[in-house]
Amino acid sequence: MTEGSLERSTARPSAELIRGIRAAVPILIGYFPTAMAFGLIARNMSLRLMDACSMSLIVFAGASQFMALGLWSSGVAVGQIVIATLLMNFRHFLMSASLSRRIAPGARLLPLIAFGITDETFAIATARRGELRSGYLIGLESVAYLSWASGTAIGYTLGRVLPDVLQRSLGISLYALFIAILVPAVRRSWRAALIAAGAGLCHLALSRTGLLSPGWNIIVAILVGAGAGALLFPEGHSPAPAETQAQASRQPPRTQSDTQTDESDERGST
Amino acid sequence: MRFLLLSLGMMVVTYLPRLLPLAVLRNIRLPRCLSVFLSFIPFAAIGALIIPGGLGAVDGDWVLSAVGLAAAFVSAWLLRNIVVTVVLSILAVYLALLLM
Repeated sequence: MTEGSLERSTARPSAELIRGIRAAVPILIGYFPTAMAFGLIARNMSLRLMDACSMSLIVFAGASQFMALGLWSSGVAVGQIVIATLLMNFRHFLMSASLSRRIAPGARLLPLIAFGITDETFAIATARRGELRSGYLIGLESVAYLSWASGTAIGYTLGRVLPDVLQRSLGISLYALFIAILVPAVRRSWRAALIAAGAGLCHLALSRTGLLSPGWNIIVAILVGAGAGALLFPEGHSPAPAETQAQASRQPPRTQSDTQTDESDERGST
Repeated sequence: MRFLLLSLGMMVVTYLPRLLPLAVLRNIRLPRCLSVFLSFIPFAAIGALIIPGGLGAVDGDWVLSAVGLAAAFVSAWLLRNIVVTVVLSILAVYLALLLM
């Protein structure tokens, strides 16, 4: 409550950095095992340690990295995986736009801060009161980044000692992760399930006809699913209660409140 | 080498949407319909990944795969924890593999 006003006067860079690092602990707990699963799956697909680690280090976007592994293993071309990734990660555009309005004027290291925007770092940062400072965001994002990168390497390395039957069962982990990401959104509104099922059935139909290559099948299916969803439910994932609409009309920067609703739908994906 | 190329391509298309609003287009506002469309993409992507790919996840065997998917769904619904869900799903498939 008073913290917001105090922050402005006492915001030394090192104190902000430590606040950011502390705020990142829940992310660390979520990212580390997920990254281990990524490393394990990569190893199971006979990718090299360097491949798995370099992807985690330079891409740093969980859900799309898992998707890339899935598409790669079914032989989809590089360019098509990149297009699917663009679609999948374009939501960060909304988050970045929302953060840009909260960051203190004259903040430094913006290109670095932009690199660390994920669903989870965004969720934690927007929950904080007051202006956001570079130190805080850098602290928050570095912990997330380091746990993602180290989890990948450790998961890959541990995979070596697992027995064969267990390694075969690991094939399901990618899809279990997708379900774990989707189900919380379905609990909030059946619309998420409908859109997912629509895109899935479209993908199935396209792959049966064999008109397009596998990479295009999934891109078209994603566009059809999300497009049909936007036509059917122009108000978004959760039907806006009257209270929220009243708030939105009181606050001029409307896109920000929209983006925050979008973000809460995505919580849990990396 | 091709995989590194993939990572580089993915980095470009992931970093640009993160960077542009923050560094260049500050205070941008998207039309409502576009932001709704973008917010639906992850659901559609996950659906298209699970159907039909998920049914061949374990040795290409749809029964084994369905066991794991069902276990994941029940666990995600009841326990709401990503890590536990992944572990329980793997465990269910592991037990099914041992029984078959």
